Amino acid sequence: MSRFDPHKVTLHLNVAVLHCDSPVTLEETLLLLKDLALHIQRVGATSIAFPRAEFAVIERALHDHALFPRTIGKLPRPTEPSDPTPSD
Amino acid sequence: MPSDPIQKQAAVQALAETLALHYPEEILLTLGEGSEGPVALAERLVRQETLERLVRSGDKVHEALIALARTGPQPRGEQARREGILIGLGDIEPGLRRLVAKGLVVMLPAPGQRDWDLFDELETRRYLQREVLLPPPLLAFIAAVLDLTPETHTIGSSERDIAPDHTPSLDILELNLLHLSSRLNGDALVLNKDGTPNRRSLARFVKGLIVPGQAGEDPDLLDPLTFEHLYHVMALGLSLELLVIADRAVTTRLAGCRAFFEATEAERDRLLLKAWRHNDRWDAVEASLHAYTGKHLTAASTTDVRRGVLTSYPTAVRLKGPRGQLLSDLKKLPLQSWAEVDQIASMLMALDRGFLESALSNGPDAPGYAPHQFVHSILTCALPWLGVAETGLLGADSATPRRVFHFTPRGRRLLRIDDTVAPPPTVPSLMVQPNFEITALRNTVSLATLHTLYRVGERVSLANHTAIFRLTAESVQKGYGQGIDAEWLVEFLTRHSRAPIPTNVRHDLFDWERRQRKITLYADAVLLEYPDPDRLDLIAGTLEHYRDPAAAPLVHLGNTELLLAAGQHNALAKAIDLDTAHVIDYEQPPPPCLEHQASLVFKPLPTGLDIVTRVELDRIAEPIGDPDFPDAWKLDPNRIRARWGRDAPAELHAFFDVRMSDGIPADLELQLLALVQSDIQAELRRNVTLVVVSNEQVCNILLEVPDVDEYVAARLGPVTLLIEEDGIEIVEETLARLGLLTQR
Repeated sequence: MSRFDPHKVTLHLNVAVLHCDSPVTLEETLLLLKDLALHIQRVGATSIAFPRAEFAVIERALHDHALFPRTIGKLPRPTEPSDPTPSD
Repeated sequence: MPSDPIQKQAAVQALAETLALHYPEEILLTLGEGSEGPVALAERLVRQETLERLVRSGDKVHEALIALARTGPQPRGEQARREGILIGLGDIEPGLRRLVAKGLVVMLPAPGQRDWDLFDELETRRYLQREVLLPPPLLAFIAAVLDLTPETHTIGSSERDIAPDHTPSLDILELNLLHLSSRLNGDALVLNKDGTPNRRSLARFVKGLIVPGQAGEDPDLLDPLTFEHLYHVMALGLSLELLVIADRAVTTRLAGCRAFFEATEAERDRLLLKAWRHNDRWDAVEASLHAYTGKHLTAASTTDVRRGVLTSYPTAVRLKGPRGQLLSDLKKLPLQSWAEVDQIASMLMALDRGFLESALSNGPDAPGYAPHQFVHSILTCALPWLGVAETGLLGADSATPRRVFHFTPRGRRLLRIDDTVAPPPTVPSLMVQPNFEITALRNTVSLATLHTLYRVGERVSLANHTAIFRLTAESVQKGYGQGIDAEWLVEFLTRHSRAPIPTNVRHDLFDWERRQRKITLYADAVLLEYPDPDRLDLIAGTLEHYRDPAAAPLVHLGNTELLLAAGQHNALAKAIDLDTAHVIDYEQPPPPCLEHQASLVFKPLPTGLDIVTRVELDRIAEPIGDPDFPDAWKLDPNRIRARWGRDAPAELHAFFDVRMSDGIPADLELQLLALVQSDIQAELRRNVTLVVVSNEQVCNILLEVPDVDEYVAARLGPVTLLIEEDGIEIVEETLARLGLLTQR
């Protein structure tokens, strides 16, 4: 990823990562995702990183291809508008 | 029956010694009417005729002696009184007081109590809190003289003529808890700001829950009874720690689910009873009021009618004590089969000596319920909804139907009224079909087996005797994601199935495992980059040491990238200098990362690019240098228009404005506009003609004069008009005609 300042650590917060068991699986997975308007960055030979907000899109794309991988960490929650209250 | 002289002598001696030991002289004088010592007093009291006269006087003296005979030689007064109620003798306190006042039963003062007065203790009823002593020889004498055997007493009537209410069984309650926690696994029920369940969200998760008295598997959320039942299931699920609330959402707690659903029935009963007792998110009075007398709900909200919410609240906390006390008393009642609710409530109220009144009414958070209202809500709502009791109507067709109550067999086991243990099912209870459907026979299947089926399948139907689950690629892989593997699953199905597993099912179970293991998703992570692999290893070692061991493990994604579970701030602070680290938070605007190098050429700042910027630059610009690691990018108008279409000017501005340290400088902004907007241009004009009028009003009117309006090229300000070259003469003539023209 960034290769510019060798003296500093870069921390990417609120990212999600898709980690494959092999480079071949990663290539297959990227083919599944190629038509989607996503912000994906390769990390190493077997992973991609993307903003956490795009997790649901990627997960749905995998599900559409009958892939239901193990998911680690808290999922971004779908938002529901609050019920109206008498004071609303 | 004539008394035995030896037995009588022993009784006299025991009573005399007890009186002398515990009562001061002045009390003995009062009891002995001024002249007797303890021996003479005891001799006067321990007589058959004295006892018979006392019994004949009424005041429940006989009943008090029966209760004392059952409680042991030295109970507290209140203990004897409660025993009398529990064995159906009613309130024996008048008899007990009379026995103490006569001296036949000796009240022991509290340890260290001085200057006490027996008759003051009796008057204020404090003696009920003291131990009362009926010496065993005296009790033996009384038992020989009077019949102290209580009549067999039970409360209840036969099941004939009883129309049962629709109440959930414990099995249904457990199935509902399992179904709800399964639906919430990997998902979340959103709560409103006030803590009530969001109705749209709720509607997604309640499908398939069984509500007593309602057919089908799609509960009507507008029905108050249904809503309250669902609310009860959720509150109990939270109390059992099957569910958890985090960030205004209810989700499943997998560890809690395993601990409960895979436990034996006896252990589940223990956990259910504990959760019921300690449930501080639910109030039976409120629930029964809403459920049975509430108005029909609106689609919008129940917020306006509900005081309690799914989080713990003070009123519900206050009810834990009274609920536990009431259950403790209820378990002691000799309930056999069906008994009238009013009769049980009366006995419970008689057993209570002001605790309920005090707990329900005193203090700032007290709910203010009347004790009888609370007792009725426990009998007709809290216990039946838990599934340990059933209610019904006796004489439903009569003019005065009466509500009746009884404990269910499982309820009696849960409450430890019945010590038997249900035998575990031994017959195989599943049938696996080639179409991937599994039929579970409900009368033999264990909850643990159902729990596994929920983890790897979807329940597609539920009938009285069967539940059908379907194995799908999604459901099975989700199960694999939570620790199950194909080999274990095949062995489980083989063990519980009545027939061998179909070959195609076995094949797909292994194939799905292979697919599931190809990819792992990390939904909430921190990505740490450091260009020096050796130094990164040191950082990883420190992080490994300090990170939360319960969090996901560290993963080396490459030589220079490390994946860490979110929320490990402390470990990060130990491993790196957070103040100097370059932090990119993808839920915030990106930090500045670009600088303008030359016309339409941008290069990254030394801190590097975030993922979004890197990807977007490739979409709108041509990389310069190595395509994988470009040194800079040159904007391409065609790519920009393809990326953003008609919104290109605004999007381009927004993209660069946030990514440049001081925003976009004005000259660059014009360049960017000119790049994507063809009509952006400038013209330099010389020798122009202006009309300058004295004020704005004159200028406005002049613009409406036809010979002027026609030749105005532009209004340059409030009082200035630019005149086109070919209209100069006409405008000049018009101004002269109007008397406005002054030569300068």
